[in-house]
Amino acid sequence: MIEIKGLSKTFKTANGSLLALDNVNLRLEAGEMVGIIGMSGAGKTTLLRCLSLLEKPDEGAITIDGLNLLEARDDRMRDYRQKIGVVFQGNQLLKQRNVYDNIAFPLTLKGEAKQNYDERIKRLIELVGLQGKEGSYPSQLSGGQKQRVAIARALATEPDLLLLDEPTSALDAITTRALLTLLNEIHAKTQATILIITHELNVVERVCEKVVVIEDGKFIEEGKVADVFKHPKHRTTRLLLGLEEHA
Amino acid sequence: MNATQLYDLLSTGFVDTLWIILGSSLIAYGFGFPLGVLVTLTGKDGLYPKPVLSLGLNRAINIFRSIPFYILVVALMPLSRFVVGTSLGIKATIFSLSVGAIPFVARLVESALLEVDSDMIESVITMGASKLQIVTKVLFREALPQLIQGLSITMIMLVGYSAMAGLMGGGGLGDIAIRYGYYRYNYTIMYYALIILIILVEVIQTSIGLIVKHIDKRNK
Repeated sequence: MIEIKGLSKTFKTANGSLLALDNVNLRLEAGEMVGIIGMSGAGKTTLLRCLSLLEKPDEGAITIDGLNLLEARDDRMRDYRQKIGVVFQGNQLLKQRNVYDNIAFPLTLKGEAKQNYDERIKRLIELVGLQGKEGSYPSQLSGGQKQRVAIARALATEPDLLLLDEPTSALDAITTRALLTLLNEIHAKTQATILIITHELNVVERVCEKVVVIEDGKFIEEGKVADVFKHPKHRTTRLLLGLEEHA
Repeated sequence: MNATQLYDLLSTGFVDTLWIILGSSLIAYGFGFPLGVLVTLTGKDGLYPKPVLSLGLNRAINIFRSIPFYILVVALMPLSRFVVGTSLGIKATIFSLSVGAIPFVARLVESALLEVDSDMIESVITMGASKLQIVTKVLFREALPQLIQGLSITMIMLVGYSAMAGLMGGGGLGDIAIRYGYYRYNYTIMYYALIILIILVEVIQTSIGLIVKHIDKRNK
């Protein structure tokens, strides 16, 4: 079980301070697929950076099975980081390494020998449907294929949480559908806990069980996707759903 | 001068020039590469920000780079006598070219490393990479084509500077071109020397260009 408790983050800017995350709480049961949706500037990116341990929140805790990741000592940081697999917007593949080496990269960082992970990498390549592309370089792949490599790479360390940042924002409609189908398959096969940060409704609708709406650094509404989308309580949610026009 | 004498003169000059280029590139990279890495890593957005050290290194590099090369060679003459025992010939030329090229190499290395996307480095941090791993497995590896391209730029620059060192009896083809062409009006020898220099630059550019094309996987 993954728990985000009382997470707050303030940024100092030229015009004073900006409260990017305001006492945010979330519980993810193992194997859940949850979407976080909000407009730009709502705090999605800050939340992602805190969860991927790139940004230290001012307050709060991120715990996985009772272990607070934010209290990690430097020498344990690597193990903590490998509990969370991140797929960044724009995938960030290593351009001078091929598909196989990109996916195996997090494991080579641990100094693992190739014979120990070779089978796992082959399984991951099969899982994301890139058989035959092992030796290709990112520049030879389409946008959708690159995103598949990034997902396989994030899964390489068998993380407790798979975090996806706007995974479909750079993809066309057809590639988006294929990727969402893939996410559903991965979820069914691996039972991974998945958190998707997005501004696209159809992503949440197609793959998530639960949805959280974020605005001004606060979680303003959350629940089962069917409930929230059918009976939105908050005005921002209705705006996002297109049930109400911006005044 | 008969054909055999001409051949001997030019081939000696060619071999001398090769030694000058190879020797000074090697030494310039030996000091310039670590310096370039240090400047990158200690910079404001580097992995190990050290503002004071960074400022000092950048100042030193800029000062050395703003001294005209010809003047630098003259200024280095006493030092050259002390370090390599002479201020004339190939050894002296290699010494002054190396010293002159170190800050240049450092900047080339720095600009190659800075081209590596900072978002990519962040994504590697989330995978649990240590700083050392980021340097060796990401920065060096991703910047390798530009780093090798920089070697080509350095070597070609050194061909030009070695000819300038020829003005002070530095040895090599530049020395021959000046001694025979400029002082004795023997233009034939000067043009032969020039043609060999042109071919040398072309060979360096093309061969390193092919290596870069082969290892760079970004535009396959």
